[in-house]
Amino acid sequence: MGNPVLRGELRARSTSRKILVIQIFYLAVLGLLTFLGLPPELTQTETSRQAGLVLALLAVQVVLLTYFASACAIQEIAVEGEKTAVDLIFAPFTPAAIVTGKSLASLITILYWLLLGAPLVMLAARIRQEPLDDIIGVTAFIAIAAWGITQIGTLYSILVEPEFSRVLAHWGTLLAIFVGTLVLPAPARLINPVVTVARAAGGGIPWMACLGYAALGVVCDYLAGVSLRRFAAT
Amino acid sequence: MLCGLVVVFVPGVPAWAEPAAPPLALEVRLGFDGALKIGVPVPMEIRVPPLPFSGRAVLLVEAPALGPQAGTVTTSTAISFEGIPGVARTFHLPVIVSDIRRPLTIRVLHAGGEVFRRAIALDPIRVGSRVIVAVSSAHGGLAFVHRLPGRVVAGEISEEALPSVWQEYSGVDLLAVRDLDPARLDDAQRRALLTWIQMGGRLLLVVRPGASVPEFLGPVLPADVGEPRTVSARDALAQRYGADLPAGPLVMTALAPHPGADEVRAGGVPVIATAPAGWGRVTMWSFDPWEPPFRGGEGSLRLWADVLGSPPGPPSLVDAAAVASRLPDSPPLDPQVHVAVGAAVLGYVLLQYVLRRRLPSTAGAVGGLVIACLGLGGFTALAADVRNRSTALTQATFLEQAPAAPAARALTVAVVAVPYGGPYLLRAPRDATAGPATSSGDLRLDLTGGTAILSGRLRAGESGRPFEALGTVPLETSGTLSPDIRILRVDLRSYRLHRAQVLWRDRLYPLGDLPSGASVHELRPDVWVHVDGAAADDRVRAWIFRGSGGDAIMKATTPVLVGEMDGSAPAFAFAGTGAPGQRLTILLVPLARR
Repeated sequence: MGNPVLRGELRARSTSRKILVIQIFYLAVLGLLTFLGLPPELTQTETSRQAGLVLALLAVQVVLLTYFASACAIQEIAVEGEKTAVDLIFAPFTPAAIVTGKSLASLITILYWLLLGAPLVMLAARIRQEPLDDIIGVTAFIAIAAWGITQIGTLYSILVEPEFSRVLAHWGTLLAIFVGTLVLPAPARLINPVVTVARAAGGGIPWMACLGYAALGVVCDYLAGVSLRRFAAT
Repeated sequence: MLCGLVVVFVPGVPAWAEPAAPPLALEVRLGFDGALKIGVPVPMEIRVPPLPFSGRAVLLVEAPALGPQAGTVTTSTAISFEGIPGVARTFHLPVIVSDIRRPLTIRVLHAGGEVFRRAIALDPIRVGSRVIVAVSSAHGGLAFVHRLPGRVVAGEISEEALPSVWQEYSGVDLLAVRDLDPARLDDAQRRALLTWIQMGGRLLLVVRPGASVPEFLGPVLPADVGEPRTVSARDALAQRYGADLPAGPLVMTALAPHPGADEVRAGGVPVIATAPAGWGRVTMWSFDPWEPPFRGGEGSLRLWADVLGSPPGPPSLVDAAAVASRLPDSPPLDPQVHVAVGAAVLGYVLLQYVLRRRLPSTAGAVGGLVIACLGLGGFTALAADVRNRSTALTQATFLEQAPAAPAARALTVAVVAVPYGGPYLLRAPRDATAGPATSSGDLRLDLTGGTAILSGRLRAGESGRPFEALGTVPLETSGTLSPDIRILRVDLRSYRLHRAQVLWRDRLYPLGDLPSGASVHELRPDVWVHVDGAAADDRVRAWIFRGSGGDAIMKATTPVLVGEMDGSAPAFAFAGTGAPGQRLTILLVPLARR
């Protein structure tokens, strides 16, 4: 890990109490769902097979991870010892190192949380004998989608200076992605991560959605880098 | 050999005994001379031609069954065997035909490939609601029985074609034995025939003048055989069966009926004798109904209708489908499963919390990952345990004591539930024929040494799959009810009964627990209750009498002692994994009125 920003971010997150609370809350929600969803779904039909506990867990994962990761990136949840991208400009780090470090830190955090939740998802999935391939595919999509949306938060943290406006923009973006997209016509509705998770849990990796969110993350990182460079120049 | 059986759909197939080159195709014989009944086990004989290889092969019989969706449900019966190059093999197995619109498919598989395949279409004309099977060297003697009430079909076979398993007689309403050489029957065939009679079969034995009676049938015969007599008077026969019976004089064998047997005399000579044998009935005729005087007239038809019985008796006192509808098809999850999962989830979350709280560093984060990896393995094992515990089997075995016989019919009805969906693997009771109680999904039966392994798959949330197994157990309980219905005498031998009751039509008398051995009980007239009113009485199992739709489970028209029995009884068991589930054994003892 040659990136000092990444190192610092990870060190801060591994010692943060807020991150611990987030992790325990996230695991507790998954655990509670797993426990309450233990009784088998009776009188189901073949077509609604996936509309069960595993899908609920995956949907909760994508919502929680996206929110918490982006909230940390936008400083809505201020992690102890973690500096904003704008603050780091005044340190001897290049804008590219800052954006790369923050981006990778978000991705590693999301992957870490996914791994922490994996035993609970595995318990629910193996009880119902859901195909592991599907679960792995959905998990990969969750990681990419959460990271892509988190990078919007990183961009907002640079572009929007007032905290209230930043939080407003963050929530507005999340509501647009998770709720607003539901009114779109069927093919475009796949922008909604929960809809895509539900589709992917039925089998098949949603490559287009993965590519879309990955592109979103890369574009946001690029714009964040450009913005930081401009900010540094002024 | 097997000359009486038809080769289904292959007219002109050479007899097996012919020295000519054997045909390289499966030869199949189904039913009795092609006659069969729907929904009950019927005998099937398959000859597999010499295989060109050695090694494990599988004979697979796929019988279509009626299901929720037409044309989708199949019951497959499989027999694994060791293929020997150049050696033909013959297999006998019971199959249940439930849908005659689709053909049966017989395949021989080896190393994942199909070696032989044969589709057998069923001739609807040979499917009857009542089936008469004759063991006779003369053919065409029963061509007129289709004129009997109901859809009656007849088949004529030789003795070698008699089943070796009594359940394969399930589709036979009457077995008429005219020419039977006991030396051509093996022990299994003799046992099967006697057991079938005791379990409710009807046998007609034609004692032609000069012919001997098979000795092994002695215990069930209603009369001894005397000398041939010339009978000229036919008044009794004509009075009873019609004036068109031959006037004679005829040579008939004089019968000497056993005490208690019904008899019909002609010219003062007993020529018909009949008596119950266990649940079944045996009739002896001392004249030859294959002879022209007795063929085809109205009197002959009445004779056959009389011996066939009308209406047909139920195959069992208990309706398996109705029992299946009363067994819980989605048993509640084992509470220990909830405890185990709750504890595991809580333990995992707490462990993560304590570790990160005690070790707020990168090492702690790595430790959290290690716990997660360990949790993956542990939770996967826990998931397998939850699945195993949730896969449950609920079953009830009904032992129907055959009257005055040392055996009882054992009908086991089971419901297997796989709440989370997935495969099930059950072992049927030994020497019992097993199959679906209701055709609700695909089923595979692997027959291995007298035991059937049932396997299939249930979808998540699908109701449990009901099965039934029919066999026998040695049992010698008995009971009598006095003519005034006041005194009950029972002899339960070494068994005790719980929640015992006397059932007669729609009334029952609760008795409570009964001790082993002989006991006498006084029945008070005011204690009898209607079965509908007994639902709230915890001394009786009211569900025995009423199906979910109000249909009767028990169909006893004579008084029967009913009770729950301790001790082992034939039952299904998981061949794979699963929770044992609930099990109930109910003894039914018919009560003679004397």
